[in-house]
Amino acid sequence: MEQLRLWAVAERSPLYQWVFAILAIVIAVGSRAYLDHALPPGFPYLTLFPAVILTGYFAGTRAGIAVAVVCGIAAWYLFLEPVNSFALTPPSILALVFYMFIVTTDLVLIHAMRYALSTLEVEKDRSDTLAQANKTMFHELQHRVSNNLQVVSSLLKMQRRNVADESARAALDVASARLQVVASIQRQLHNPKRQTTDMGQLMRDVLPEVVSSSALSDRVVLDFDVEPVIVTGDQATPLALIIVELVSNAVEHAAASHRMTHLHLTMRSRGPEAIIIVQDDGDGLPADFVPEKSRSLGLRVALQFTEQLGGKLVFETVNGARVTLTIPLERSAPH
Amino acid sequence: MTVPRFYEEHVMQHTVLIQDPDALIRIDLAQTVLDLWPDASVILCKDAQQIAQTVAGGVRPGVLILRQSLRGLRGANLADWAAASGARVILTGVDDGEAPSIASLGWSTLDMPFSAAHLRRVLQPGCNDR
Repeated sequence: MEQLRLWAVAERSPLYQWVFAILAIVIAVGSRAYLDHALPPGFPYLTLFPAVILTGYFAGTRAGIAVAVVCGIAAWYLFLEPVNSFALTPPSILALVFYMFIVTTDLVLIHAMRYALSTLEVEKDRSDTLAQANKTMFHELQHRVSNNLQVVSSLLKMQRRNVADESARAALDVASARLQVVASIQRQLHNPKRQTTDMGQLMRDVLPEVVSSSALSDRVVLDFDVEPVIVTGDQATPLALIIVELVSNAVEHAAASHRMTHLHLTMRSRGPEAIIIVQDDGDGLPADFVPEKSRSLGLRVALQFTEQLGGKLVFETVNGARVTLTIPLERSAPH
Repeated sequence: MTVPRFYEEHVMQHTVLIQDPDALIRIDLAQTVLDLWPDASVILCKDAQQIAQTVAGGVRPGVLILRQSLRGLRGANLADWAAASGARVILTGVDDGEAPSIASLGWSTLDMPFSAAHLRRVLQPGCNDR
């Protein structure tokens, strides 16, 4: 069918049209003459109609008209009574009118169909060009975003190299880590067809680096019990930043314990909810700990983003500090 | 373009050629390489033309960190040279779908924005050599 469509919309040279028309006339009139004695009376145009239709379809309307006119005259002279003459009798007039009506209808319909197919072909080419332009623009945009993130990252790193104060260096490290998380999500969403992220896999990729970039990395062991948690592009960045902040916070507090700290990240997708647990085996939370009153920027970021996602963040002391984050999964993200 | 600390006629394992059109990113890459590899000699190039000039001067780097896609590298007629140079090639401007072709050439990619850990990971064999 695709090939038939392409034949219909193909541009034909005048030579092709002439040759096709002449062959069609010769074959149609010749075969009709050959079958003349085999056919019962009343079929003067039997092989001529297909010749007109096929020529109109494969060689164009002009060639189809030429075939219709020549075949009509040939049929009038050769096959309409009285044969071998152009005599006009009421039956031959009726037959000729009938012939003209049929071939005109055929050619008009074929012409309209070829015109519609050609228009469709032009529109298809235009759509393909637009789709390609959109794809190119999307990739260009992604490259620019990556480049801009890289420039910000480079500035932070250069600033860090020129800072002697340890707390300032640590703050710049945390800022760099946050930027890396945003960049990782941006890369995950790079493909325009894939607008969801497996947060479990992303955390496996990102968190080891967050821990290793800390000055305390040699005293922290991070392990995972993570199932795929598929979130939409809108949820990905805040959720990732919440988890990174919780893990960074746990790493920071490992400093106080002066011993090896084990961090365990659990991620589960349960129906309409995702449950994420960050657990350490340290001394637990201070007795008077109130997250909302904390001055830690990381915790404030985590609380704000949790509220934005419509989730819940629970801090408790159970064999160390445990933070449980529950967020609703959006419908467009498969569970 | 920064003059290398030293160069020889043979492949210079300790010479890293960094090409990026953005000066800030070039410098950050160079400083990160020097943090990881303190006695490396770093050559900074803005574009393919500067790379060609550097190579014409007899410099044969051991590591190439290029802000190029594989398509771009081929378009600039640098892919064959990079493959024949024996240098470790790290591309930072890779297009979608190019990763398998790059891996089949034995080259590496570095996502932007990069971190020191990312760069260390792709330079790891070289760092171990040190």
